[in-house]
Amino acid sequence: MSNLKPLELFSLIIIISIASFVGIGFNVALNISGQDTYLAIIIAFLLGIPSILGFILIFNYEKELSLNFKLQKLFGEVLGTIINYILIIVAFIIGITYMYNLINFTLNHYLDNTPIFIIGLIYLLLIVYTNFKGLTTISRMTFILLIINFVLFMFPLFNLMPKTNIDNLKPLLTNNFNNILKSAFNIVLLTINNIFILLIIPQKRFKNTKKINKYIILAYIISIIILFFISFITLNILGPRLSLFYQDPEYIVLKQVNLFNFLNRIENIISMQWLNGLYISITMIIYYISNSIKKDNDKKIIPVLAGTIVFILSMVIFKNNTIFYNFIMNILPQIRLIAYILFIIICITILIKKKKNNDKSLF
Amino acid sequence: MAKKILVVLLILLLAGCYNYNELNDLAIAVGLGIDKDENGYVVSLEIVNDNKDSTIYSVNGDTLDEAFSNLYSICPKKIFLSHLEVIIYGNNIDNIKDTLDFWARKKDIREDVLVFLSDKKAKDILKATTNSKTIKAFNIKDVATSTYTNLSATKLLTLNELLDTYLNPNKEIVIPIITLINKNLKIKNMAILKDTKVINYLDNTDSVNYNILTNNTKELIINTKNLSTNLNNVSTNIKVKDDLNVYINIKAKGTLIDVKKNLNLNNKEVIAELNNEIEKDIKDNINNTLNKITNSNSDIIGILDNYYKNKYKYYLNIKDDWYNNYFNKLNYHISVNVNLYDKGKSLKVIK
Repeated sequence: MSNLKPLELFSLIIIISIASFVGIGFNVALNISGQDTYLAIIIAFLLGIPSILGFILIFNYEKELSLNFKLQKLFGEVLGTIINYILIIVAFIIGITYMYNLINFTLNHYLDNTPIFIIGLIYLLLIVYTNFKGLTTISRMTFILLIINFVLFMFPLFNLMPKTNIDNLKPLLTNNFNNILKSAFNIVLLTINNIFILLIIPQKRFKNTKKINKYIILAYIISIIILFFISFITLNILGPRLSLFYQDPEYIVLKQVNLFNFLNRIENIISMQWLNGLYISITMIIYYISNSIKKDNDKKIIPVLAGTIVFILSMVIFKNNTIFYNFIMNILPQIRLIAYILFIIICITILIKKKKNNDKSLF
Repeated sequence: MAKKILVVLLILLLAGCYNYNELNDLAIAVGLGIDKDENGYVVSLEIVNDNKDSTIYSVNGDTLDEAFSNLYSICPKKIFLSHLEVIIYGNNIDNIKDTLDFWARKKDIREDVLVFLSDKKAKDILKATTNSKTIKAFNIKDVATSTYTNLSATKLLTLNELLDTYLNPNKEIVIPIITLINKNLKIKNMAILKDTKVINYLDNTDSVNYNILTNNTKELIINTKNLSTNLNNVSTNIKVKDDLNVYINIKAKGTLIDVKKNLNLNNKEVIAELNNEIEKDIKDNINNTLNKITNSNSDIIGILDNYYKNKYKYYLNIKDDWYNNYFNKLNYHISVNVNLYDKGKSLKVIK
């Protein structure tokens, strides 16, 4: 059934890439490269190119299969299943991190008197319900949310641009170049590499796949540009010290938005874009997990179970912010590295198979 | 069945009735004063009753947090700090550092709240009956904004800027002072802090010069022997060199307000002389202010920060011994370029 549009994949890539930057990727990068983080994003653009090409390679391989079946075809049933389960565990961990980030952000800036359990439960119901509706609904909703997010991004961008102070980025390159490189690699691991969950969608589900590769590359470029502007504006306005001082500097900077001299105090409306992004990302992660496990697509119990596990574990593992920040700074990049290495292996295996079959087309 | 349960659950959860706060149950705070006495901190909070009336609540506490908690023993409503406009430190607060973490951590205080120091008790400033608006916090904010916008004789110090300067090891804090004169609120220029303690004060001219040096002026009035002028578009560029030479380049445009002597304003040479007169006046005043700052041994202009940003290698050599060996040896080279581009309505002088 080909009912998805390439534009919906484009929307999913952008939303999923950006979702983990706010609150996770930016904090990690800022702690490593400080005021040179915007430079790290430029380098991340180059470092992410192999990732996006690898995504296209896997996405175009056996177009009618989803990732779990592609793995079995590439590595055999046993090894393929093992790799599949490793990726499911990684997806679970990402889901747990996102869930906590989503709940924590809501708790900090929207509903600071509401019990964390209630906030999480409402999100869980929404995520599971969206999963019940299926991929067509998720992708169409993502496209609509991307338009909303785009508006919520552009207005503050133009409003905050004149308030930037380039002096805040001086002195240039005070950080060791290795730190900037490490920060760039972490940005790739924590943001761009998230799109691996989209490989659960077989390419045949999309109609008009002629230009789909161009859409993927365009989505990647736009994602990086957005990441660059988020870090550039935040660092320029708050400066490196306050950016490192606050828990959510991207949110604090939005407090300075003043549209047409009468629309101010709108940071909660603008920051909705990040909640939208995290919600779509967790929904896709649950979709990825349930579709990687289940054989029978009609069973609804797996999204419920996966969602509940993600929600409960996010409450159990991250008992406080300190545990969460230690986790995203030290452990999460290493876990993501496992997925990254696995994808390199998958890409190499596909290339070897193509060579064996005398298939000279790269994608 | 499951769908029905889900719908009921969602109705209960999403109705917005859980943990709600009625507007009538909120005590909307707009002004906050902090003093210290023998019993610890005294927190005074101005709560808005309606758009013309407010109530001041004052309580003691060993710590700032305890004083805030004690407010609930006299204020029957939930204290809501999101609309706080001003924070005022009383004259008996010896070090503002102890309070900064509390402001930075409190979720409902916005980062654009204005911070002032008072030469009286903060409680008295908030309780003062003023001639204009009856809500004192709004009045304080308006007076400060007016002083800054029209005279550049103070600065609007936001909580964000205060925290940023405090976190910056290369710069010291300057804080505006508020006082009461004949029951009227007055912004009385600024105080120089070192390690978050007040060590000296800037008078009116010094405050204007400080704003010129930090590129933070809106409009300012210069009075010389022959004229009064309103300067705007003032821009300052400070360049630091490795040999402790600091080059300060000031450019400004001016409008004549008043000419005190009969002069031919259509003569280019006369205008050039007037430009020179203003330039000399600004240069002399800036030199005096720089001397005062040097004597205070507090780098409020951020010369070391300038070295950090523009001469990083040299900065690494001097930063540890900045106040002992370098700060008072700085050679300032000031150049001022004023352009009287507007003579007002009349072309001739009435004298």
